[in-house]
Amino acid sequence: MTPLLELRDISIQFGGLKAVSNLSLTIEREQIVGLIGPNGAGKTTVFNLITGIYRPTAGGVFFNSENINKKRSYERTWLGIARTFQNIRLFKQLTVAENIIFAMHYNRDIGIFSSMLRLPHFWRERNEVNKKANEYLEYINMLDMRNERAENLPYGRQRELEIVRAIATGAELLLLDEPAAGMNPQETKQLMRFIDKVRNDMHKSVLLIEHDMGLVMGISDKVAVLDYGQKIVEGKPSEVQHNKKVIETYLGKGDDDAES
Amino acid sequence: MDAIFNSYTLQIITMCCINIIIVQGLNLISGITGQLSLGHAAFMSIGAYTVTLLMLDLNVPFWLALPLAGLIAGLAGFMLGVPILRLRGDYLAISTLGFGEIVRVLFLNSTTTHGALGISSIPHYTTPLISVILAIVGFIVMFNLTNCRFGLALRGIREDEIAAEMMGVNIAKYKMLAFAIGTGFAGIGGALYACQITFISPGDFAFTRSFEQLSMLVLGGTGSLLGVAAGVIILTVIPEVLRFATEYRMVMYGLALLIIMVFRPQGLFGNIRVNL
Amino acid sequence: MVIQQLLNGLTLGGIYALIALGYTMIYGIVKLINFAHGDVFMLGAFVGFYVAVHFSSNFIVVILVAMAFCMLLGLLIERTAYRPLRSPSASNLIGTVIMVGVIAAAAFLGRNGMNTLFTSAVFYEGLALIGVVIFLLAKGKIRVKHAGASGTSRINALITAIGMSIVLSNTVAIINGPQRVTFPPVLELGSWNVAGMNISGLQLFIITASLVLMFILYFIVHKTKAGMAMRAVSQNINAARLMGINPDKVIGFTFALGSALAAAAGVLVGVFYTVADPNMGSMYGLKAFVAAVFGGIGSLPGAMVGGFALGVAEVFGVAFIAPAFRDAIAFGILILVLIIKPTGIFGSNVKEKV
Repeated sequence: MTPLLELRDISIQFGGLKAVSNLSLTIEREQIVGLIGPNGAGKTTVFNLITGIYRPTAGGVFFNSENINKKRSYERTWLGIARTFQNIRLFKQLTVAENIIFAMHYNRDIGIFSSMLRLPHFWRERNEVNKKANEYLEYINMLDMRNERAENLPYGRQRELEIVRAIATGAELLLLDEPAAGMNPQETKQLMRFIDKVRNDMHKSVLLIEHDMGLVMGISDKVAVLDYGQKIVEGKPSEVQHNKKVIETYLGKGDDDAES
Repeated sequence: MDAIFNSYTLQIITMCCINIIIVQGLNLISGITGQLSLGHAAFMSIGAYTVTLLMLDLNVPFWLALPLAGLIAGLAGFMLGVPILRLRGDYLAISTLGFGEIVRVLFLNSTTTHGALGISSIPHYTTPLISVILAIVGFIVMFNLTNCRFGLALRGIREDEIAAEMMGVNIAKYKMLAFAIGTGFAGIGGALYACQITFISPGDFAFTRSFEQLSMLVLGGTGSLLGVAAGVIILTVIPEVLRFATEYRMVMYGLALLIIMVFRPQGLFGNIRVNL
Repeated sequence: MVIQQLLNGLTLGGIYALIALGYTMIYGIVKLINFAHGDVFMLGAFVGFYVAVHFSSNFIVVILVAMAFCMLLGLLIERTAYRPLRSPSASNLIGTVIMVGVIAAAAFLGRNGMNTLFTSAVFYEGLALIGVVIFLLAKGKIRVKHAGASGTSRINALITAIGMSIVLSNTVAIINGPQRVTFPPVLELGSWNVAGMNISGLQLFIITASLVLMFILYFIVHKTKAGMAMRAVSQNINAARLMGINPDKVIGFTFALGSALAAAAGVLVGVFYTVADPNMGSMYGLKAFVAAVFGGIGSLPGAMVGGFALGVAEVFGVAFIAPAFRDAIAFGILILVLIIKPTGIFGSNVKEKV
């Protein structure tokens, strides 16, 4: 079977700075891949390249073996790529349910006229959508908050809602940008189980940026380490953990420390 | 009954209804979609001139000219929207304001519109009944439009454009649609205005009128359909009530605007923030 | 001909630039389009006019009094229309209520004189109403809640600005009457005929004066402590507060500074074009705002360059293209510039970080 997502030698340059250079990475179906690296290593830039906020200056992004370099961001969502953001970007003044329904939007026709005239078709569809949204909310035990404004949820729940919103687009591939940021160890553990459950229940693939090593190493099938925009290591969590290069990246070289 | 429904009050009611239609349009653009427009009066003027010229110069019947006025104003909105709707916040606001002034100057210098002299003796088609019915129809259309997935998409764009696009919404298209529909409402309102006042000149559609429409929207509560009606009624009635104050009228109007805004920043019916 | 028009354009541009600086400073610091700014400019011209007619025909006195008056006015506008939106505390709201009363009384007084004020029932009714409102505010019976969780949006400030603008222009229209006034000649500098061109001393003076004022402003913003506080608040108001800066004071100072420049522009316009009218604020104000956006709003050099560029473009457009389209030229250029570079010439290209 072909991989779900394949980055082939992608690079992007901002002015003189190469933010990502010659990065190759594949994500198989139902695989959880961790993307780690120090701050400023270019991890979020990789997400932006996959979702079309940036276009690579070289190389190609392939989804289901199709080159999607020229696709706009919303078209990539249609194809099956959805993401969350480092600094939560929910629709703050919309309700929890509306946030979910919004994401279920794209695979339906606009239907301005049928909704303006409130044809039977409109009501039928509205019921369906509500039912489906409730299912999603039930999945994260948020049904009782469905009419709450998203901005009024506690921080951890907002993170969860954002993940489910990404799922609700129907995407096969979820890009999660530091989902555990700002969580305590307890919450992080819960989140870890949740991500694993999503993969198993819904057959999703996940690309995960995370600083919490416990989380990444605990659930990833594969981990890639980025530094200065380049992939320095890729492999199973256990391999990466003990890799000398990775330790150097995070802790610095012993010699350098002694000299300075 | 006659005392209440004399021609003066009926005229105020008609003006309220016309303004409600226009400000509903502005609400769709600025309150629901979050794209601040300071040039709404321009589209009103396009509607007003379209209906007038169609009826007077081409003998088109009113009931055909009215929807055409809305259509052409909406088309103008769409065409303006293509280049400028990618601007954000204040830059968008000032561009719409600029567009409004350009339209006014064009009408001022065109011979078909009789320039600054304006056009008089426009047939008086806008009866109070027609205006009330159209305001209600407009209200229902707007309600249905904002309470479906289309409206949800627009509200999402207001909240966070990038997140909206990442959820699979073609934001450029939706913004453009909202702008076209909103300006279309302004066109219909403008056409009704022309057939109510029976005289129009470019001076009637200066930026001060756009400001007035925005004030109505914010005062009533951005994003709220009921708020639009409340804001329009208050700001249409206040100047009439203040007629006794003759020359102090506008000062008091300005002070009232200021005081209401300071004491009720969310507007009378609103609970939505629009971040520019 | 071209050089002659260039001179005319630079004169007009200097005036736009002076007003635009106020817009851009205030925008830089509170992210607010102060639509009342054009009316401060208009008031500057009128104060200059009254001083020149009734007290002194010395140009220096005229312009300084106008600037001082508008500084005060700028402070009051900020206090009345904007501060309560930033922090709706009882004292700020009381300030607004008192100011509203004062403005209403001033409009009445200016028209009818002192005697009628104290004999009119409206005055006492108004006084009683204000008293009651202040009492209720002080007792905490009236509270203002902002929409949603965090603060009001800038759209509110836009509306209070519009309200303030309506109040100012109409107050002047009441006191002075809606007609235009003719400025007495307070500054006569003659003119020279050079190579067939008529070079007016006044024009050179205005261009120089506006450049000097801009230089003074630049000095204040970049070389003084108050200027440093301004820059700090404009970058991060909360961090500035933690560093012991009182943002309210700094914002007030900014309004005062911007208003003084607008007043100077008002007097210069009065002296050069010899007329002032109560409605001139809005068009000058709008075009100056366009100049500010054109140069990149929030940037001082942007406002200067934008002002001069717009003045020259407008005069050239009128002279060589179509005089009737005078007011459309500025806006047409603006839209074109924004489509090409959405943040103006000097505006920093802040792309939203994802």
